[in-house]
Amino acid sequence: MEFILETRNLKKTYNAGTVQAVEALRGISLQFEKGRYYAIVGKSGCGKSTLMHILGALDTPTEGSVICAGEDVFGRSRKALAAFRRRQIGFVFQSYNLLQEHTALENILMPLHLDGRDPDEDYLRRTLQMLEIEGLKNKFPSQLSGGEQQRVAIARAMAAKPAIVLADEPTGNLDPNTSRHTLALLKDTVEQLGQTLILVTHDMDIASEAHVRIRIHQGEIVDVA
Amino acid sequence: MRLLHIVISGLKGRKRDTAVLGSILFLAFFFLTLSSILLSSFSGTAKRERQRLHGAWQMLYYGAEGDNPELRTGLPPFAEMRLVGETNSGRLIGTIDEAVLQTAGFSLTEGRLPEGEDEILLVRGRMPAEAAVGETLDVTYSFADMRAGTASGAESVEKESVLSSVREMMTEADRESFREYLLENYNPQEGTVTITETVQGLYGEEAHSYSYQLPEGMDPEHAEQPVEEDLLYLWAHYVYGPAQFGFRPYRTSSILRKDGELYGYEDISVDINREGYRIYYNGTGFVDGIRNRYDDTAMHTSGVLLRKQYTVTGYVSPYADHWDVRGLAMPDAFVSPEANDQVLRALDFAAQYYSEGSKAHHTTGILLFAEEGLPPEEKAERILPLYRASVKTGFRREIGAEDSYGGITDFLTGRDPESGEEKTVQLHVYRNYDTHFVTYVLQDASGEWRLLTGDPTEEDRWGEFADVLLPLAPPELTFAELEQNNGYPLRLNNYTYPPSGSAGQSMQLLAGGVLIGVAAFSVFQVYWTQLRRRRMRLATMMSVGATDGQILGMLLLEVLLLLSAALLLGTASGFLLARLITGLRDAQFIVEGGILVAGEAGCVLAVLTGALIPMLLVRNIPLTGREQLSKRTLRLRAPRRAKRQTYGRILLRQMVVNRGRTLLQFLLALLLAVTLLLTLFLCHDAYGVYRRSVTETAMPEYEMVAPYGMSSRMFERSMEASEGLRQGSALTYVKEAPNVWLHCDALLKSSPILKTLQGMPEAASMFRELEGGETGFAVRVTGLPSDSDLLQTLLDMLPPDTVDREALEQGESCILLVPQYLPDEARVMQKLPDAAALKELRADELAGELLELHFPARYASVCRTDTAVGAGDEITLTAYRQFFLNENNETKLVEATETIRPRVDAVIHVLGEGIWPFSERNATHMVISGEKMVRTLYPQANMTMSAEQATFHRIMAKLYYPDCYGLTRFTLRNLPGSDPVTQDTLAADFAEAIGMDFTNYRIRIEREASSAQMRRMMFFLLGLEMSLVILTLLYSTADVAAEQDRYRIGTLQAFGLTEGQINAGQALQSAGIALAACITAHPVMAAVHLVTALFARNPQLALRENLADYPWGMHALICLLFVLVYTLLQSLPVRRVSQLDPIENIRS
Repeated sequence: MEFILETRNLKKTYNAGTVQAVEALRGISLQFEKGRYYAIVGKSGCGKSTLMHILGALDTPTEGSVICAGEDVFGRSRKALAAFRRRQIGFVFQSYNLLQEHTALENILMPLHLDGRDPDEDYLRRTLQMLEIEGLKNKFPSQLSGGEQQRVAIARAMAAKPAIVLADEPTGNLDPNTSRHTLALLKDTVEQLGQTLILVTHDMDIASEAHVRIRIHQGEIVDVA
Repeated sequence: MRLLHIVISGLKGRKRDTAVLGSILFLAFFFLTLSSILLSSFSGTAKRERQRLHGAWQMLYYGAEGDNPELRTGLPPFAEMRLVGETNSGRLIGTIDEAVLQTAGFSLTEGRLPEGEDEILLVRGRMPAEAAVGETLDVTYSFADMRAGTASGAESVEKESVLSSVREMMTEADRESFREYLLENYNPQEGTVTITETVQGLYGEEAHSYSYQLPEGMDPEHAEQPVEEDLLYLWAHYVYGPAQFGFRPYRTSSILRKDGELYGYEDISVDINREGYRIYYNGTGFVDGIRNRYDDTAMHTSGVLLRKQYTVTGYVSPYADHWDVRGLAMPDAFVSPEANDQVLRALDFAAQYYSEGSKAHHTTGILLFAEEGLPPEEKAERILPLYRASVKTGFRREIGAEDSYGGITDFLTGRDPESGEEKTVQLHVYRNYDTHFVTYVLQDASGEWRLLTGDPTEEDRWGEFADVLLPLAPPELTFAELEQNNGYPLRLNNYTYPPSGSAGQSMQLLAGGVLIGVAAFSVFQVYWTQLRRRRMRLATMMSVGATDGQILGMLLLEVLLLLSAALLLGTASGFLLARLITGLRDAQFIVEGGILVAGEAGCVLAVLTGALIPMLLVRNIPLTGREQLSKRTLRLRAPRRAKRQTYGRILLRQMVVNRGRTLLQFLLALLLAVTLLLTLFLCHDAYGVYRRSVTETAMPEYEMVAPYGMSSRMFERSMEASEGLRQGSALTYVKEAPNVWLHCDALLKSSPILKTLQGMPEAASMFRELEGGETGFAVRVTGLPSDSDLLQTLLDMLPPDTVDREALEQGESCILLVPQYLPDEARVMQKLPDAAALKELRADELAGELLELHFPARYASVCRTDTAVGAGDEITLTAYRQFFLNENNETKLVEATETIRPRVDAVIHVLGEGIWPFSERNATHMVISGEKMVRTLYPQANMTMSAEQATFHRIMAKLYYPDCYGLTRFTLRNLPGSDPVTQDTLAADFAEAIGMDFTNYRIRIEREASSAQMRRMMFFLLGLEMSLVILTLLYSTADVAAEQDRYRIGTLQAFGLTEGQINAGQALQSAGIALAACITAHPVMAAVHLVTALFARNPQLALRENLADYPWGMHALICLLFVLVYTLLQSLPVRRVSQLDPIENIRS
């Protein structure tokens, strides 16, 4: 079977070599299939976000590798790593990370523009429709609610048609209703576009909807279901 | 302790913040120390150099009486140089001790100070005969005015003891020679010496006359009494002094009998011929009894000669030429105070010779007041009472000179008997019967000396006298007058201590002020930025209960800690670097502790103030620690059409949104650009005066002007005697005819310069009505030898074959120098001083003042060219001459004119390179031709005069026949390797010896150069300090901005923004700001330039002059460097951020 992403013995130690060294990941090996929905769960500080950041090439592992298309992601140059993030990954942050001085549409198109590409207008319209933010595209983040901002952030993550969408507790800052609605939209969109969704959450209800649930405890995988 | 611990941990934790703030504080103290020490060291070195050249004394009082100790109480500290006396060769001997050595600033080049009574220290090159250290030197003192009152000489003849001391001063060989002389020239006879009258000399000196009267009944033919004692003084004068002992020392046929009694000898006269004046007494006149007040004089002498052998102990450098003591004779050699006492003892004996009204010789001295911190005004106020007490009524002698025939001509100033105002008359006292000069005598009337004149046309010229001058009242000298006219015996040393105040100190103040101001601003800016960034932490501390006071105390403590460290390190580093620089520049290391401490205290206060404001403001931070979104962000409007977002656009949007930050970055960049360019401009301008007055004019080291047309051959021959001067300098020679009038009637119609000048009443002296009613304009004709380099330089400026060399050499053609003129006469006229002041100006200066006439090329765009005369035109020149014609034993002053019509081969309006003397600042019309033209205009203009003749000629020229012999101007330039101070002395001595006016430009050049160098150093240091502080600020701002942007950058990185894109975008943004700042800096600089020029005498010219020779290449390089450095500095923090993993930036 072809895995879209695979981790081999991933380890991450913060402040390595000092007395304050913290082992966030202790040898994580996982395989992610294309078009599937993965939920990574665990308590606060168990290493979920660290794993997500490494999967998204936002952070580098202390040991181990992330394999994509048969190649170790971290064996690439920094430029290639940026290209990997730009084209393969769509990242949804818990706190949205929208640029305040840009409109929603500008924020959404930013990954494409940074790659020097023009958007696929049909794809873009469909995404905006699915995420129900068509009417918000000319608004600034400060004019949007938390749910709207997160939907814009999801649209931004989808904009470059990435193969993998990584969402780090995307509903952590939202109320339960908005949270459910947003997540449903994310899931539907990813499904319709055939993308792999890896989502970090500590909400078991959300996790229960995933195809695969990965449970992490103290930097180690304790359960994959 | 806990607070201290928190503060130290905080400082360690925020390493970059600590480093930035610490750097700024360090830089402030470092540059404050460095600039303070360098300025004081260089200005101190320059001052010491001036002290070495012009004396270390601050004030000098010449002629201080030695016997008024009560008046000396309360005087500022001084060293006293007693004036022992003058030698028979006119050299002055003074005393010296350690205090004098120090206060005078003498440099003892060899040997040591004299001690005891038998040693002497020589001023190099001043004594007629010099001896090596350890050898002996004969010195003969000539005391001319030691006696007063009348007394019978008989009393002394019998008193062996009186003369014994004098005799002791003579060697055995002298005495033997004296005896031989007496036996040869005098019949021994018995006689008495009677002082018949005491005469007050012209300059206040007392002179005495003697008549020898034989005892009644004695036949002089057989008289055999020795008269050694009686004639000792006369003999001494004869042998050692310059006095003439009459023409016929003894002639029996001239024995005078009066009423049958032998009265004296006819035709025996003594002239006491001393440096600077001659006292002449008629020795032929007493045949007919008393006919005038001098006629009872048979022989005259005055004074005593003392001869002494001294051992030379050493040499001091020559100083009299460099001291500001015009008119005051300074010692040429020094003995110890004990040696002076010995001379006084000897003279006391001589004084006792005249018991009636005898008066001891009282020496005067020179009090040298050191510079010890007392302001000159206060110092003068304490010295003035002493000075006033010693000033007597009298006449002021302006010039004294001796003509080649032995006559003297002086100018005496006194009170006009009628108007009571000051009046100057010419005084000539010699050869009354052979000249046409008015004769004046001084007469004691009503206890007050008066200057009287007799009518020379009267047959009995001694019959009647009329008041001409009354003595001047003692001047009520004030400090203001001293400053204005530093020509009194009480002098200020303006050369060493310029009256305009110490430029060095003003610069120190300015530099210190700017440095402190910059430091305070920088600390405020940086600390405020840092505290804003720390608001979250501070808010957290406050949220857990820290009080405002605790927060303030903590911040204050951290600033104090940094301040203390920076103070110590900065001061120590500044101190060390200053030491290194002064060592490399061979300057003295001078630390003015008071100024340095005051500066650092001021800096501490300013810096604390700069830090305190952010500390107080920080209390307003909300406890959440978060800042509200900026209002600008909230006011943003969506663009109508979404544009493709490149990183550049993203940055641009960010710049627009964060306008405050962008503006700060731009302003700092602008400040840096302006600082760099202003520093370059000011460093360039620091040499402006030097460039204009020295470089552009090619000012020589020395210039000598003879008041007549001297040939270069004669000058060269004269120079052979001064081998050192000839070898050490290059010579340029021009011959000038200054009072030549260009016939300008035809030119007036077409020459704008002449037309304008003629309309100005102040310029009336430049025009003269010539014979035939034409109008003449004063021009200067310069004759150049055919092999002159100056001529070649002028010819090189012209197209080839423009000038007919042969015709030029023959004086048939010429090159005309016509300056460019400024057309805006109206504005120039407004700047004119009053008409009275203008009259004082020389004609050529006047022209420059009135019309702004210039030769340098850079004025070409401002000035216009006068094309009234062109190549091929013929001009008419007339020279007016005066001379004395002796016909039938009658001398009369004759006036004549000489007119020539040379062809103008070329007209020069622009003198590119400085060609002294044509490039002198005061431009005027000049006619350049061969020497022959000057000789044609002034037939007598190729002669040689002795120094005395030249001096006499100069005085006569001043009164009667100005410039009728033309002028000769020699310029000397020191060759590499020659010692400038030695050349100074050699040149001054040489000029004095051949009677030329001497100008030493070297000292002025050095002073200008030193002052320019100091200004440049100050501007450089200020610029460097400001630049470094601004760079630190810029880095700090960039660092803060990068920190603020990390979240954004991290997010963008998460979506694939590459490191290259980030860095390129940042570099582009920074380069844009730098370029904008650089472009904006130029109008700012132009505005500064414009404003400073507006304060100049002529703004239009100042604008041009200030940028003359401006280093545009360096300017461009600085602009380029600025853009590069700014871009690099702004990019570095972002580069660091861009290298981090996205998540690190996002988490920030």
